[in-house]
Amino acid sequence: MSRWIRFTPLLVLVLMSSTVSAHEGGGIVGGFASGFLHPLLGWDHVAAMVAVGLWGAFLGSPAIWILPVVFPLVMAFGGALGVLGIPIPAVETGIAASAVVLGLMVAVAARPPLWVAALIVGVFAVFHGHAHGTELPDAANPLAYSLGFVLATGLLHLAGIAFGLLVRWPAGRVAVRAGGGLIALAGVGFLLV
Amino acid sequence: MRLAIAALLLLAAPAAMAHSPIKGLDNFYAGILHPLLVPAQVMSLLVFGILVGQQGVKQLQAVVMVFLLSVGVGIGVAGLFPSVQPSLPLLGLAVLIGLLVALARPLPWLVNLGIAASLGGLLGMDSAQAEMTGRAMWASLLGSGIALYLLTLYAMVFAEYFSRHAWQRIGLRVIGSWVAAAALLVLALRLSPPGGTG
Repeated sequence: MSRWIRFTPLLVLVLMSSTVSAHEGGGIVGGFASGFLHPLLGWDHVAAMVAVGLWGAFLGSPAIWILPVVFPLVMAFGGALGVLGIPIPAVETGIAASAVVLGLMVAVAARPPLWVAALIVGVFAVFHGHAHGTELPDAANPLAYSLGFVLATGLLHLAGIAFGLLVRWPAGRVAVRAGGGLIALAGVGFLLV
Repeated sequence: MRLAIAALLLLAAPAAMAHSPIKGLDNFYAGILHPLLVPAQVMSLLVFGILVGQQGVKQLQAVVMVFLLSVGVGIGVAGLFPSVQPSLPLLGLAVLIGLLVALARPLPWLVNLGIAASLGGLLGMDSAQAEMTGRAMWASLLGSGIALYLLTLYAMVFAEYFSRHAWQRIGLRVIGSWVAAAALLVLALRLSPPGGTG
């Protein structure tokens, strides 16, 4: 009998379950979701964006905070080129190369002047933005799509920055540099695929 | 066990489909929700509020008043000419304000005033809902006007409150750059020739 009492709430809840309104594909929600997922579902984007965050943390202030402010704007410029149909040669190669170069920068603990680092990151931001921008015209809601992918990109940077803050400790420094090495190796893989 | 069952049943209660408490107010509520459902409006309101909050709401009280007045004027224009939909200039202004938030530099008073006047006017004009006419439309526009003003005030207070620490100020600048980036892309899409996208 006690077993019945135990299972009664579960049974009641199962019987009371309402319908699930899943897969809202259109409108603002659909546009935002597809934009948000676009950078997260491409491993080449993920690797490069995390590497940007790692490098920013490695370079320290002011790079660590200039980066998340400037990167989306440069990326949007690349995206605007994609939307306007202005071609950029070898976009996919550029994206894969960004993982190699940025990963290597972290792995070798490179500390160039800030403007050089900004230039390197900015050039690659244009490639990433162009790839996202070409998807924009097909989005259910282009503005929500843009906001979604900018937000996801920013969160990937933040993930890199958070991991990169480990450089304060000797063992963390090794871990971050190893992470950069892994990203560079993955980038080589993206180039070969 | 009884208490657990009661708690579970309460948690399983479905959402109530309520109606407007006063007959005829549905359009007013629809108007209040309108700015929240138009991404361009939410984004421009957010960055404008942050821009004013970054510089200090107390120093820019006149700017806040000008914004309120221009929202009123814009809503009047929307009521008289509902077909006017200034979404393109609104996006352009969102890019500009987002960039200014990202730069986080003090601005001349006159620039703030110009931004407040033009944004308020554009937001008001963008509040007309095509399917409404007559009294329903005016009730909806009144709701939108109140919502536009309140949402901007919330963003201002949010920005001023979160300007105390360096990391908070960076966070506000990041929001500005994200909004500018997203609006810039859509602006490019709107300006791109048909079939010209890559």
